[in-house]
Amino acid sequence: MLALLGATTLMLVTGAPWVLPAASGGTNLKSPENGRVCIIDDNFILQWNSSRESVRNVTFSAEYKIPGMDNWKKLPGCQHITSTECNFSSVKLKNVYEKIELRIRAEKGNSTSQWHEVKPFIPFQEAQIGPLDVHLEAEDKAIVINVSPPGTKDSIMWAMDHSSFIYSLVIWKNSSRLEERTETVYSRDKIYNLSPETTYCLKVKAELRSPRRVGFYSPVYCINTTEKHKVPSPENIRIDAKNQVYVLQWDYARENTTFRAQWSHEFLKRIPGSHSDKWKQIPNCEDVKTTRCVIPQNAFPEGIHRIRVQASNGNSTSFWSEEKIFNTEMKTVIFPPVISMKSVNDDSLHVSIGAPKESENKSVNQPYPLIYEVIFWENTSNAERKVVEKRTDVTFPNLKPLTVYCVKARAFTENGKWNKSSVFSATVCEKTKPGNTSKTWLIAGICTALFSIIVIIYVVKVLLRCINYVFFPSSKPPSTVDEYFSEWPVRNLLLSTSEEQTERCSIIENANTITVIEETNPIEDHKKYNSQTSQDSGNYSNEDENSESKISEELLEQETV
Amino acid sequence: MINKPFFDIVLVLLASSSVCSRELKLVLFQQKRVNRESLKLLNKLQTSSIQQCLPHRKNFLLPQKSVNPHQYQKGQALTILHEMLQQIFNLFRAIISLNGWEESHMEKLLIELHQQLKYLEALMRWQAQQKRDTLGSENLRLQVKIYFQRIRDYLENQDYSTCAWTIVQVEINRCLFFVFQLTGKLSKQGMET
Repeated sequence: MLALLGATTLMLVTGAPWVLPAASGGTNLKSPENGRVCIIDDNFILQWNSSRESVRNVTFSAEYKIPGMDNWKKLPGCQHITSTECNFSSVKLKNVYEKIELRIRAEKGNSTSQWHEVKPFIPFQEAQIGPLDVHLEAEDKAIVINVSPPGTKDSIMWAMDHSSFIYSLVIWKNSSRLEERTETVYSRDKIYNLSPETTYCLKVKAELRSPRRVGFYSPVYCINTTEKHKVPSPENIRIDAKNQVYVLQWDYARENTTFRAQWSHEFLKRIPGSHSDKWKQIPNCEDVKTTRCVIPQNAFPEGIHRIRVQASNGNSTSFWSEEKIFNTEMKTVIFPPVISMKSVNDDSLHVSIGAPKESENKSVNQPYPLIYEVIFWENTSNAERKVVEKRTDVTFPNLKPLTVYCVKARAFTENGKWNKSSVFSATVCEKTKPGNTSKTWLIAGICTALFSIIVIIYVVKVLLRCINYVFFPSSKPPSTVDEYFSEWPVRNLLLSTSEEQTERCSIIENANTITVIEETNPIEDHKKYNSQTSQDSGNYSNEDENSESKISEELLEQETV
Repeated sequence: MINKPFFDIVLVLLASSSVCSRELKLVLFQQKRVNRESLKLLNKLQTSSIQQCLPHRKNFLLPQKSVNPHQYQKGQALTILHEMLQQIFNLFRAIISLNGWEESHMEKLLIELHQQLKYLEALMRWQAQQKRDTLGSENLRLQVKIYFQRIRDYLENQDYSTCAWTIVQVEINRCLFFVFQLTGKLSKQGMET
């Protein structure tokens, strides 16, 4: 509408010059109107309306301009067009995410009309998703579907969105259109749970998320499922993680069958194209005769994978089973939390939850967000209180005083897809404090009484001493003082003399001890050396003898001194 | 007195927002794993090869200013995150088909990216159900696309040389850093609402 308005105003403003060529050339060319683009995948179509009183032999030409271009350029595929639309898919665009401007005019001979400008647009925003090309393959109970992504192989429109498409499919039995089934599939997928020897019809459309853009439905494709295969495929595939291994199990009724299982990355589904060569044999699951196999945990890298199983009876093999998606996170072991409980006051208990203790196992120490389920009950009754908490502190209020309450908790992963929980922690019990009864007061009273008694005793003692000192002074103090006076000098003398004596004695004693030590040690040394003389040169023993003689000389000197 | 239906509504609202915040927490957690794998991959590169590739550097103009996390609502931030991770996935899956790359590490990154995209897609579905407006997200998505188009054009012009891939890988790591910041802010926003 705006473009139209703009165009008309432009025509009104430039009315005068528009009249001139009409007057001079005789031709009365009117600009085309209502120019619009229609883009489906990589098909760019420009449409317009020509004015009613269009003259014969009038052609239309368009020009375009993209950012970074100073001048208008001729729009390829849209030159001298006789009809009212043209295909400009061959235009070379840098990308489809930038604004493009178009203008169009009527031409006849040498005269031309005014340009009609189309509202500028971003090709990607205008583009619609075209119908899809679908290839089907039938099995007895499934249809393999292969959707080619919208656009051509080297489409520039969806070049960056090939992996972003989601495909929704409607499938029905040809005999009854009423039983429609809608499924979201990847570009290569399989539709299961079908009946053998039945005609199924389906149509598919592509979608882009946010901003949601829904494509056109593909044409309806019909296909017959094959007759029931002699060897049925395994069913009900399930995988579980148990002590360091995965256990893969499936259901199969017949005897004498061998099985093999394969795995593949789930992310491959996001990439269009065939990935049939990307399936890998699962170790321990090749030619097994049982309907289960035990897989070591290191068989898969961390992530989401797909698993499929095939049965074989020697002569022929079954179709592959339904693919089972599993996440290696399932092996994660969550350990029970460590809980402790404290009574805060007489009517509430405070429970604090410690993080689960992780083992040394590598897979466990990933900090998954956890929530805790806390179960709380009175020891004597069975009535439980259950709390699911994200926090690690819970307080249970309104409890009876002096009652034993117990609590246990377990940890959950905060994931909707795979709920994993730990076992319950050890039960912790705690008695609430006595209520606001006389008992607390009694205890407090006793305590204060005891304390005050001690204080009073001490104070009285001190007072008594003071009173004693003041009122009943001791009658003998001078005599004791005298005693001390008389004793002091004697003691000092004694002390001083004894000190001198000991000093003397010590020299002698020291000398004696030295001689004893010196006498004993060299002998030992000498013995040692004797034992070593077989290896050592004689110098050592000589030196030793020398040193021994020196020491004895020194001793002699000391003795003489 | 406030009547009972009012409380019911409040409870429902609280529950739904808690579902969302729980998912958001997972998204943040998963983003840590994505970034860790990306860094591991980057560590595989030889310092010598990075130095040798320095002359090939290019500014790809990461649209971090125009997609400032403060300005946008949850829906818009989700859109940016989804588009960026989707494009990174596309780029790396192109690399995986080339020889001479540490395939197992690239696979690990793709695995984590795929998981993250699944979380984000679940959130987007939830948001679509809530009919939250995602107005303006179209334009943001385009900006992200243009940024990745620049990277693709660069690779093409450089004939997908080893150096070009090295430069791109460093750039993607930078981009992932931005993504991580955005995820953190998104999950914080989610907790608040």
